[in-house]
Amino acid sequence: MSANGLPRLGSGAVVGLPRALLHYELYPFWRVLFERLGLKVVVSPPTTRDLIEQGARRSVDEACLPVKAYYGHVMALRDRVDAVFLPRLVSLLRGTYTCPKLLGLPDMVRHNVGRLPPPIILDFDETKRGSGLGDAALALGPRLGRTGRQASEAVKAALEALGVFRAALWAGLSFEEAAARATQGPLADRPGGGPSGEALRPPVRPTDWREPAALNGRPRVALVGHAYNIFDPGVNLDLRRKLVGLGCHILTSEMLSHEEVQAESEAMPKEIFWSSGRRIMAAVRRFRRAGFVDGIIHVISFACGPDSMVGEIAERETRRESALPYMVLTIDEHTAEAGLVTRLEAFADMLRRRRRKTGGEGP
Amino acid sequence: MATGDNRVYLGIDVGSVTTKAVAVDGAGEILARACLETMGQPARQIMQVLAEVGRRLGEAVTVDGVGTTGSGRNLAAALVGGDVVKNEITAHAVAALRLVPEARTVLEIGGQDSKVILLREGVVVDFAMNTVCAAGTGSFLDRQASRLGLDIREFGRLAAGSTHPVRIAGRCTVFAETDMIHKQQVGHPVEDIVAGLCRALVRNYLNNLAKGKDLEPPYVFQGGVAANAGMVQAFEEALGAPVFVPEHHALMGAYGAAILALEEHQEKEARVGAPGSGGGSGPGGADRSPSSYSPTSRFRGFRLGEMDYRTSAFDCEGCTNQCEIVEIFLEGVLVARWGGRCDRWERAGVVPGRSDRSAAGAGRSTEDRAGSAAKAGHA
Repeated sequence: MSANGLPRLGSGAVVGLPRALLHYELYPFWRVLFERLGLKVVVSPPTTRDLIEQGARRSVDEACLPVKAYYGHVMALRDRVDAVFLPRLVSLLRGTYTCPKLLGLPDMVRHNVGRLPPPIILDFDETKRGSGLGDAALALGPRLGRTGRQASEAVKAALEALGVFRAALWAGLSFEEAAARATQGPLADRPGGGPSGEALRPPVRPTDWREPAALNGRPRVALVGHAYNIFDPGVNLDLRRKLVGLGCHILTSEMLSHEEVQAESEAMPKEIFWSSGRRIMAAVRRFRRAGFVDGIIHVISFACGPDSMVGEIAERETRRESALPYMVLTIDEHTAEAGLVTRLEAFADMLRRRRRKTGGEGP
Repeated sequence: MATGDNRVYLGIDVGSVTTKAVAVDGAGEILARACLETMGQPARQIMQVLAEVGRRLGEAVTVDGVGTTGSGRNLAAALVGGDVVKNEITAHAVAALRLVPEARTVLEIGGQDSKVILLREGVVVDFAMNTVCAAGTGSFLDRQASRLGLDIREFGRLAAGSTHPVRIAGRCTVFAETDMIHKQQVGHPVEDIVAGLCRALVRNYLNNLAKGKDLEPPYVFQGGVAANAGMVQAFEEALGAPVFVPEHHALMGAYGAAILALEEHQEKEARVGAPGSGGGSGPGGADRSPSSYSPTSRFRGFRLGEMDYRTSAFDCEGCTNQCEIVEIFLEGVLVARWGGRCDRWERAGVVPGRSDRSAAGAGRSTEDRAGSAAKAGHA
């Protein structure tokens, strides 16, 4: 341990990233940042039932499933890395906060997981000057013994990768596709690069989800929820694959740009102050207005405080303002696969039979 | 028969407590039905209800479509040769709409689950199904009836005759039972207690399952619990409107599955052309009952009950998900395999004649072998 509380890590040392929680929102940023600082990056393996069980045994009882999975991911990294990265993500957007469990996560993990490799704990807080994503990351370089120039170049490249990642998600790519675009190929190797990253690559798809093509009768389902619930098949019981198997075309709340989220949010009587909740609420409103979305599925973590509130507001508003089918799926480690499948099948049937009845094939 | 020919459509509903089968004609009229307790042996009971329906149909019929539903729908489809495998929500909605086209709310309470389905202009617009808690379902009512020494039929009649139902906590059945015992100990008559219980269950249903939903008449109440007059009365009081209970309320899932099979067959024919195209002279294989063979259905025939079936299970060791893979064999031939999170085992394929799983590696296994399950009367 060095004096500033960070482990001493030479060039080539391995840092572990838990594949859980805000990994699904920031992974390309972390990866490029650490690689540019001369470290090797290892990501924990995909979520499995075994990994969740391991995590659930260490975590506090009232934690949600994704937090329990996070513990499991940290444990899976234990013997493979020189340091484990445990960011404290307080705020990712001015005026919003993440949930209390995320704020306390590095400390909970530190005290509950034995044989923990030296943790890199760093606070990110957009509400404080100098603590935002870029600024806080900038401080990491010198604290790891890198020069200021190295540090600023690493942050620049990391922010650029994040820009590419987000642009790809907003255009409708999957997490894997977007992450691959942002972390592989010439861009990540090139210091600096373009200002936003978007201009560096051709458009990701001929048409994005906002200009929908005909689906030949397939229902268009909007999946809304935290990125880690939408993207992690180990947490959501492979919801996406199941829905695709049922013939559904999927849109997600991660496909909204910051501007779209902000525009929808500002139109609300009172803005949601959880960052993820704001996006979820905005997505529900945006998809409801879109006209071509056949139904919305809101994936909620059992025991999630913000979800219990945002979910209720979103559901009530949707039922009041529209006739759009809306289903809430609450998931925890006890969720029965059979019951989930029955609900998804019934939902898909409902959308399809409804289309047939109204005669509308939709766009 | 109503349509003048002898083509029938089967619906099989394999629930947690009972297994039901229904045969309908081309006009959707019920021709035969059977219901058995599942008793933890769904495969055997599927064979038996099927044999029973075959017996009741009597004369030579052609099965043009088979629909399955309920929690054992995949098992039923694999064994019987299902053409349509549907979730019970869709099946119940289709059944209710067939009988009451203007229905706007379906209340369904079965052995271990309950559902509410909202219909508008003949389509499902919303639904809910109980999640982890089976509070207020048939199993609980059964248990309380036997605790009070009542036959479940008597239970409903008694409840309907109560003049002063007692207040009983409806949230959780453990607390409801505590409350019931207390009311007994202080001397309330049994009919008031059972009536109070019905009210509590209805309150629980409306406040939890149907929370935030606009329930509108006409109401259709189906599922096994609809036989309980006390529950019907409690619903009518709480909703302030009459509640229609179909004659075959306990068979509605199977009926819906049969209707879905009928609809699918009609669509298929509309696509292919004239009805019965392909003719009735298909290759009546040795394992098919010639009289029930149809070129459009996968149905294996009513003689199925005489066949040997076997199910086995093993834990896949391909990754740490430890999926439990189930395999279904008919006459030693693997007919279905499922249970994995990935498609490794489904992909390994169900190749007739090949019952080994060497294609994808092995795991620990347990087997449940059974002999000839039921002797079908229809051969």
